[in-house]
Amino acid sequence: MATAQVMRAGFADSTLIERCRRRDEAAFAEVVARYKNKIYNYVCRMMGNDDDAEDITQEVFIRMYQSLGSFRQQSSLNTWVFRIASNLCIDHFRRRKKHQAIAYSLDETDDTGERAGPDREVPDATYEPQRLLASSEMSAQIEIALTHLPDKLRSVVLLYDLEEMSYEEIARVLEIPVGTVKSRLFNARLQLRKRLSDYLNQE
Amino acid sequence: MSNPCKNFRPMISEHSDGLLPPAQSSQVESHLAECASCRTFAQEMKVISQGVAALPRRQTSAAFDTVLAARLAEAQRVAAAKPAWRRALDNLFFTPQQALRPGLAVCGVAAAMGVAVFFSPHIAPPAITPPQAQTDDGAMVAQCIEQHRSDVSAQPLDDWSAQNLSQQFDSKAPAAPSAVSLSEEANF
Repeated sequence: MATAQVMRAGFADSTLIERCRRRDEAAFAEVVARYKNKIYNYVCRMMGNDDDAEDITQEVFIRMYQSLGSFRQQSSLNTWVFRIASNLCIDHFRRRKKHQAIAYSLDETDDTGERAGPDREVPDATYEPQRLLASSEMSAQIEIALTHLPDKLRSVVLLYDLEEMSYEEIARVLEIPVGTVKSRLFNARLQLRKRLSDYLNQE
Repeated sequence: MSNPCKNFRPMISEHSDGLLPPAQSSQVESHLAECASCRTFAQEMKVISQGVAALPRRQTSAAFDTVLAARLAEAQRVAAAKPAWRRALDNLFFTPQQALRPGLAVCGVAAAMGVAVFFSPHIAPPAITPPQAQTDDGAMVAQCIEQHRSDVSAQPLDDWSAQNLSQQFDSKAPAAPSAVSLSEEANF
């Protein structure tokens, strides 16, 4: 039954893509409606904040619209959209690291006279009381732990556990071998376990 | 943690996802039956996996579609302003990195071919024996003498060595250069 559902979703996706290629605005709006929350959810967790997530999610759909002509449907629409999202997140991380490096090298002190650079104490929004209250204790702990994971491990664990993709789908999205997906997933869970050790011992 | 446990841990993670092949799955289960530490580990893996899956879903803002429509219109306007070749390139490659890939691939192949040629064993050209090599030594000597004779004939007459050699070869006498008659010596 599940396979039949996937098949139906797949056929619907391919039909939508064909209509999008013919610049059918309604079909593209349907694609956006189908994927915007999934992509936004993934990008939010990847970025660790909501500020850039909506902007990046919109960029995903713009890129998608622009490259509809080059999409040969060798992968599913779901895989393709998540691949665009993953690539944009990686680009964003690179830009952010570059900006941070420039900011650290230019200024020894910031506006308040505090020392700049990687050692500087930065307020961590993930520990804000409102945020902890907004979700359950467990979810809050996991969200905090996720933000500390390396980007490569975080993307795999989010795609597998949150987006319920298979190893093979993740391999296609991230363009890595299936074996690498497995090892990254295992390492991600090990690191989460380490971060959540106090909480897990209470369970 | 013992060594067998260390080896089992990646499989335990996969087992908790229900994706391990039956043969390995039964191995893991028999290990879990006798190892309390790995049972705890398996339980924790499951809690983490379920915890990530249960994270609250985020929703885009109400203005998402409106802003996207405006950005799409702007992107289309910018795309229309681009020259045709650039639009074709954009259609072929999604990101600048992808656009670089074919160029990098060509460079890589060229570099590999260069290295292969450089390190390949040198193939010597087939040895061509000059026709002179097949002639006998006597003929070669005679040719050299003839050559020498023609050379010295162009030299001034007071070249004693040339004169001497000429005399020697004319008389076909194997006389040493030191065997110079007294009358000839007086000419010097």
